[in-house]
Amino acid sequence: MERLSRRTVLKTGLGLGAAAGLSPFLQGCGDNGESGSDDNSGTPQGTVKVWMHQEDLFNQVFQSAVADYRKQFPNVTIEPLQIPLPQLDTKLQTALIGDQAPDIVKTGGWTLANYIRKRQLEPVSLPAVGAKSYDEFADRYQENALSSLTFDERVYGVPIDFNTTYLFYRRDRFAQAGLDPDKPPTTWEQVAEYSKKLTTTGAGGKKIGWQWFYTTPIWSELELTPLVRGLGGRILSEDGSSSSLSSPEGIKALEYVASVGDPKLSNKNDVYGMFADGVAAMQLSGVFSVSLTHSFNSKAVFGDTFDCAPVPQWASAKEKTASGYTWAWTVPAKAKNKFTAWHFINFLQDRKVTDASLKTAGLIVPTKDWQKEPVAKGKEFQILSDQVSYADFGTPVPAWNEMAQALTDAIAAVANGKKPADKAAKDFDDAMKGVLG
Amino acid sequence: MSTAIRVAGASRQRRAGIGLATPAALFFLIFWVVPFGYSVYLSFTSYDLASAPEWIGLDNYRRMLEAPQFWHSIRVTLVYVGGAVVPTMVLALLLAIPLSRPGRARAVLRSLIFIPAAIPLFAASMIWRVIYSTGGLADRIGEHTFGVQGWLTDPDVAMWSVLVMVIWKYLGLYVILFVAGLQALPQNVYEAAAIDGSRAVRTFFLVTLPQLKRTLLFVLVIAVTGAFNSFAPAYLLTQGGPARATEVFPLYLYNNAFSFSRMGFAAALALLLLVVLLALSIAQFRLIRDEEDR
Repeated sequence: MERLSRRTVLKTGLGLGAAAGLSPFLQGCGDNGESGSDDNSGTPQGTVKVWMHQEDLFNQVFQSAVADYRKQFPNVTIEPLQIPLPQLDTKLQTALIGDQAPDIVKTGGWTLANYIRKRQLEPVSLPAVGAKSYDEFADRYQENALSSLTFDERVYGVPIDFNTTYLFYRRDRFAQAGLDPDKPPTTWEQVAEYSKKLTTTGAGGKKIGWQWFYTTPIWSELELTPLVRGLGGRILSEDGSSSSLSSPEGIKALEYVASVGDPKLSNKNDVYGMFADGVAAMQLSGVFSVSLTHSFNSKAVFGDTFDCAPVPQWASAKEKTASGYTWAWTVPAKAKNKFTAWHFINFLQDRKVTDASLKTAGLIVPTKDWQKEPVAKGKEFQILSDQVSYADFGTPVPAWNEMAQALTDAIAAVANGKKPADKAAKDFDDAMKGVLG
Repeated sequence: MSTAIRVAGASRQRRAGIGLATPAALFFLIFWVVPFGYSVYLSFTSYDLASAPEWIGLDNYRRMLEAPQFWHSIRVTLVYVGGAVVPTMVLALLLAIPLSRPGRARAVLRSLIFIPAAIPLFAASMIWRVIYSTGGLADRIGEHTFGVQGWLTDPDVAMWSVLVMVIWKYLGLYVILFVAGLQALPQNVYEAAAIDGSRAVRTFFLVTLPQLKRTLLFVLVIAVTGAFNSFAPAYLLTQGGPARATEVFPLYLYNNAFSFSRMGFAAALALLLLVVLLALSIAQFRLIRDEEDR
């Protein structure tokens, strides 16, 4: 399997990458000349098909941005398509082989390696995003946001929905259990202790303290990463060539997962819904949960009913750790209207749009100084700003889907008592031998 | 009529036959033979949906037999097929007997029982996800009987929860098929049985069931092949989880093809499924033919 290298976006690296990055773009434009819709003349035109996962709050912002863009560029038609998150990757894969690629896709940073290995994504077009050089483009964003979208010194996406994980907790449930709502747990040991105090069974059904996502692959990685890294271990080696969950740190992390939370509970909106309803008093989630929780339950008010805090650490941890991720606007290599696609993506980086994303949907576009914006003054954004410096954004591997599914299986098996942690961890490592190597 | 005229007529008839059959033959060639042939070819390759397929001989088949998840999905599928087909057919037959008799009320009941079959599977799955969620209808019924369960989240329970939805969904369809079969049975046999003093249960086993064999076999064929091919219920309710407890064979195949980009391996799985279904269908149709010959 071809190995991809990802490195921090150093200015020198980007400088080197500029020529290489631009070349395939121009080549790509030429390739699509027969479609008649691509144009490298610098004039946005034609139809731009945009695929993204369903996100109602962000959709409001997006529709408004589309209307503003159309006012400035009436020759462009934007056709958005919202796709349920679990189907987005599959639909894109089949569209790419069937030459039915959209022009823009909101892609999870964790799946990028797979598409790039297959040469299915286009590096960022500097002319279309109005940058003279990659240095100038990179200067617009936070360093680690762009680094997770950079492979072999080329940037393949413009970041949106940049996140670290947080501890979200219900203030009302804490108060009912006699816990101080202003003192959320700071260690994983405290999380387990608080979780016991917050678990009750009454007329309203069972209520619990902590709850994990047991079935969502991306959350399996986001949840297990701070646990394993905090103990000094790793799920995957730094270069992504091997896994080491069956290390003492990995096994202890899995045992911890099994010791808190209740895998039998379910809600049509998964853990988000359980938290919004107050059934779960604590969860790991992203900053979007501030808006999402309220959208599921209008009585849940951030700062009053529920709150957020930094990701807990192990009491014995020497260094802080958290998990993080970013989504990105990307352009498929087979897109028919690449210039206009990048141009529209660049428009979505406009301050008005990024502020609205933050305010309405809690989605961060990690521009260089995003945290200095008036709408980013909230506590949740300050926490994110602090955590970014030590967050682990995951190891990019082309077989991420398979890896994350195996991780989800391991968590589900241990949490449901189907396998002991050491067996589940070993099974994961065995399964990865034929996948990562 | 001279021989020459007869030959010309036969020739014209043959040309017309070829002309009329050509569109169907082309359709079959383009949409069945070619994709099937390509699938067979892919099953001997490593293909990730991006680069060109690479010939690897029998590797996919060898890996298939060595993969624990393959055998796991076979076991899950057998449980699913047995759990879906047997109860649905028994229940459908039991309901069809009273519903096959004439009467306006029975006609209304037949329509009502068919409603789940008419609901799109996606919508039905959404309804059942709500029913199975914590505090949902299943919990409210369950707290007095089975206790509150992780209906879709407990690996020991999830498959049975999926099966309940599947039985609910397809029961009406099989009831209608059995009703049609029962209503076609000759009434004079029943009259003769009644004159001989045969009781209802005895009449059912000695008169109804033997006469209904063709319908039973037909329903069995569509139920078994449908269950082996079933992908959507598990995908929509559990995505194959928890801990792959509901990962039926078609879902295992789908995940390999589209989630993990192992198209060659998935093609090998698809061919195996085809062979199994072909063998089952041939055996079942042979049974039907034997019945017709008697």
